[in-house]
Amino acid sequence: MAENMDSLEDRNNFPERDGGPEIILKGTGYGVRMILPEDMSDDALLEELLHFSGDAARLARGIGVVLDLQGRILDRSFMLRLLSEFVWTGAFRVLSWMSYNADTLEFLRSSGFLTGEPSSERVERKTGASNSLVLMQSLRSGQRVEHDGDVVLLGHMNEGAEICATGNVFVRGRLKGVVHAGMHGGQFCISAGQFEARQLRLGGKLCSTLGSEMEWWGKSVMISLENDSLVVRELKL
Amino acid sequence: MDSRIIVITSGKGGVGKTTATSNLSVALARSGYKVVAVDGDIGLRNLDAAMGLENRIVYNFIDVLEGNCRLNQALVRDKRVDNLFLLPAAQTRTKDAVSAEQMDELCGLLRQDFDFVLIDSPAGIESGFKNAASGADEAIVIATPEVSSVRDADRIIGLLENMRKSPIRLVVNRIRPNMVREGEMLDVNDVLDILAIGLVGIVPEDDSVVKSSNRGEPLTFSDSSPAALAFKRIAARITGEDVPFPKLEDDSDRGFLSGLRRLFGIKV
Repeated sequence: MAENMDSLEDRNNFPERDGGPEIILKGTGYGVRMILPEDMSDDALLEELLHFSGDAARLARGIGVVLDLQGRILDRSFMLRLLSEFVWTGAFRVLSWMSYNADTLEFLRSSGFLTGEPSSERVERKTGASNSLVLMQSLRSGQRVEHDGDVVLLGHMNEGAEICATGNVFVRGRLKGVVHAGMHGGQFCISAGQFEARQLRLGGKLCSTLGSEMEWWGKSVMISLENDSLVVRELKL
Repeated sequence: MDSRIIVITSGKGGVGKTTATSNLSVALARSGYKVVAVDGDIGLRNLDAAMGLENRIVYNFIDVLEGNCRLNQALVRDKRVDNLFLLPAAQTRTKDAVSAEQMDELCGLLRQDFDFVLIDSPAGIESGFKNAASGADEAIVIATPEVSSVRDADRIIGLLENMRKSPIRLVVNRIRPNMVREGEMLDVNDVLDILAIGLVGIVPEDDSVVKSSNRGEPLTFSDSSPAALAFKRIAARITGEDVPFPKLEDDSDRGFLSGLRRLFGIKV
């Protein structure tokens, strides 16, 4: 388990790992944020969590934890195991749950769990730097990302994928899916390495008249909403 | 060798999962492996007909899971080739008759006796697919070079990746080189660009597929048809052989007049 060295200095609480994904601990103003890697299997993750002990664990119990599931798809059986084997057994106080997977967020919310950063941190962020989610992957059809802040996708976004962000959305590769930037309003933009989306959403506006006949189709563009009009700028380096 | 359990799936229906399962099963068995083809499509079974074994079914795998029979009573041995078996699905039940855990248990039993277990998945992304894929180690995704098929395949690949199946490989089925050349059909590179998984085979459109399916004689019993050769190459790649991908022939060259021209040595 790797920890943010600003907040935790004692590395002796965690077992040695040879490569592979690790659970990351970040000290924040609201508690300990435990970032649980999505590419770790459910069993391996639980085993790793059960080894969480020592000073870091005592600190986390004292001030509370936020469990950041990243893009992990959460099902009922794993949720029950996480609660019973880690949270309840370890007597941890979970302040909230975080995820950028829209299905997981929906599951958590409909089950009554608090999601997102704890509210005091959320108030601070409105005046601070944007909360960017950086994804080093491509999104496949059916995958949906929801994030409070900017989203940077360092991959392709296939048709049938969705990104909903309160901030800007930047897609490094090919953008074919549905993007909603500025979903709570405000002046935000969408940028793509290769724009091929049939529909986009900016703020409260929906544009569904996009097609390959447009001169900027397939090109690197930045799209914003200015005076209620869609403004497309081709990006040339 | 360690047993390998491969689910053959697609997302979209009608793209050639059952055809691929039956042909690959025969090709692998003819190469000397002990193979069972499992029909994962409860309620809409077709693998038995594609393999020409429908008249020999007495029990199915739900009978096995419910304790109504032993596994070897449900297995249908194909008498045309050594070491090839079919484990049929129930036609009179529905997909909720079995759970993912039960499929895992079934795969555990099959793993003990077979080199290859090929599971023909139903179309879709719901419980039928999830159950079929649950006990598998790896996956072969079948896609035709059409926008809708590729989009559905992309969805399925995302689900398979979440289920941690590996490797996940692609068969591009029913490709028509003539239409690709005219820009009316996606080419293999277009499909690979979107799906971004390893390619294990390219199967050309071939009328003999329909004939063989109706007769219940998988193509890979014979050597001559283009699709049969493609499936045999795929089977070889599955076993680890390094088989190059041949250049696809122009399919405009297969009509009656083209045949006559070839007979008289007249070039088009």
